[in-house]
Amino acid sequence: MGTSAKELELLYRNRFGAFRNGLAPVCGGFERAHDAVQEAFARALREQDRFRGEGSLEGWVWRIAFRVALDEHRNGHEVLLDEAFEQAAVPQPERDRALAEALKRLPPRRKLIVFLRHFADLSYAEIAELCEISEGTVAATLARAHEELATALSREGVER
Amino acid sequence: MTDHRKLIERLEALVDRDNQPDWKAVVRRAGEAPAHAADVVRARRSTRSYLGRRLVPVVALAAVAFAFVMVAPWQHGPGSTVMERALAALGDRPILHAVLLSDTSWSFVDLASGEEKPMVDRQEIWYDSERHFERIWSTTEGGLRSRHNDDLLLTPTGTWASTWDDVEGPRPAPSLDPALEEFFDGYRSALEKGTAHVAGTGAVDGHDVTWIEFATKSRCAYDVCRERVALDKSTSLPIQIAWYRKGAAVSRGIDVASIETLPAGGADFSKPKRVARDSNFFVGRQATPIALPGAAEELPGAFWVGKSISGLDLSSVSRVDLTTRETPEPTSAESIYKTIELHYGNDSPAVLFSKPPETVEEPSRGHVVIHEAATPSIDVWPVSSDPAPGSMLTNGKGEGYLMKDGIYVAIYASSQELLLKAARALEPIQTSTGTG
Repeated sequence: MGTSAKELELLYRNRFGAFRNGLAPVCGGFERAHDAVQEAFARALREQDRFRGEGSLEGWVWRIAFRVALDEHRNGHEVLLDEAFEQAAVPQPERDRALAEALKRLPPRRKLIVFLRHFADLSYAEIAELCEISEGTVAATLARAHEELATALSREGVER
Repeated sequence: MTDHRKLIERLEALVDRDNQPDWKAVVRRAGEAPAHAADVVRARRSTRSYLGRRLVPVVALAAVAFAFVMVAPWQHGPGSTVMERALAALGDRPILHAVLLSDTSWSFVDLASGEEKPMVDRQEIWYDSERHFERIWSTTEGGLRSRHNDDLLLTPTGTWASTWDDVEGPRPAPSLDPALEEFFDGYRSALEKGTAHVAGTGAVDGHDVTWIEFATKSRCAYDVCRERVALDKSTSLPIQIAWYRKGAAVSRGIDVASIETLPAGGADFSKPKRVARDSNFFVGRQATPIALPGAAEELPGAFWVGKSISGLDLSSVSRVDLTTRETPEPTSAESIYKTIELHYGNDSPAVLFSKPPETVEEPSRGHVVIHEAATPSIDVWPVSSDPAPGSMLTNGKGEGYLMKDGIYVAIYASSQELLLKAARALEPIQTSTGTG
């Protein structure tokens, strides 16, 4: 089936920020994420004929993008995304240290869903497609993560 | 104060708006020879296999259903195959009902024996394939009782939750995974598409099982793993899904506690009842340094771990009054919880409520912070599952929660080893005890 360079360019222009923000927690910073996005779209361009149309184009590029981002963690051996997300963190924690700390403590699975929703700006349906899960499970996971974050943040006001 | 809208605003404030896309640079880069073409494929497999394997029980649910439909019933002769029995056991009614159990990263440690028991996430799912209604009841198992009980209803006209206020307006109809939908479409069509085989027999949790191994074209094209579903020989129902990579199990997988289909109208899809949350809106705290004997006076039965633990001296004792409000509204009722907090070491972990001891020029190599209260209704206690007496809920990274003689104890330590040592060393503070 394949896709076209034009479609990829449109996706890139519309969603560059979401890709950059979405990869930053795994890459360890916005600058590294910027480079990962560039590389991901470059690879998507090179391999555009391999897009089989089984899901959305954006979902396909996200998979490539995560692969690029995970290269940082590989060190010659296979790394699973949840292992990478165990270490994932807010790129600039000084913006909101309490929230950054609370996010850091979420279990990897919930952390992944929160980052995909709020950093990568993906809809429930898009997260469901990317993660190969149902929208209901996305919603349930996200609701629980929100609950945990709210509980953690309610400790605010503590002297540091 | 933290409400849903505020939380979302704060999450969104963490992202970077300073984006400078450069498509020409992408095109230039694409023109360069791919340095690791083989890696691209390999890593894509890695990502997909992770996502498919680990993320959510519904994936497993889909796997089970898909396994049912992908194995040709004529493999072992008509009318007597494993899969025919499995399909018959499951039924073909329009509502799918399943209970799935998956591990969390937390466990309960028996403090006497050291034996660990995982805390388990439990999801009970009802899915009406005709009306596109989905209900998910989530809770936590493994401990004394769950503090996490979420009821979620998704319909084409809205989403309602029992414990969270993210009620949404009209939305796309919820749907199950594609593979699961294929199941509802009928196994005949799926049989024409896939491949699967009976991989052998074995035992799972004391049950004799038949393993079905399968891969699907749509799901596993990039995967290095293969998915196996264990069918209980006596009931022909699935009891576990496991994932394998290069012949070795990569995780324990997900347990299917039950799975069945129900007739139309056989499930409750009414809106979940709203459940009042505990006083969860933190207003403030007042920390007052006190002498050690004062801790036992403020909280009768309070514990300590002696004057020092693993070379970390008791560095501060505080009474901490936590004030919470039922709602964010200033007029709502306030509650004050009296708690105490002990710090060992002086490397300023700053993880709980009282002011940590001043960091000195040569900070200690580690810390233990013990927070105690007579009630869990403060924002220290986790929203998961309470540990049974004699055990501690822990994340394996130095954070633990236990209940002892009516006191709720939270311990934050700089290592798991130190956490366990502290939990085992808890002893009542005697009012005659001095800090030495």
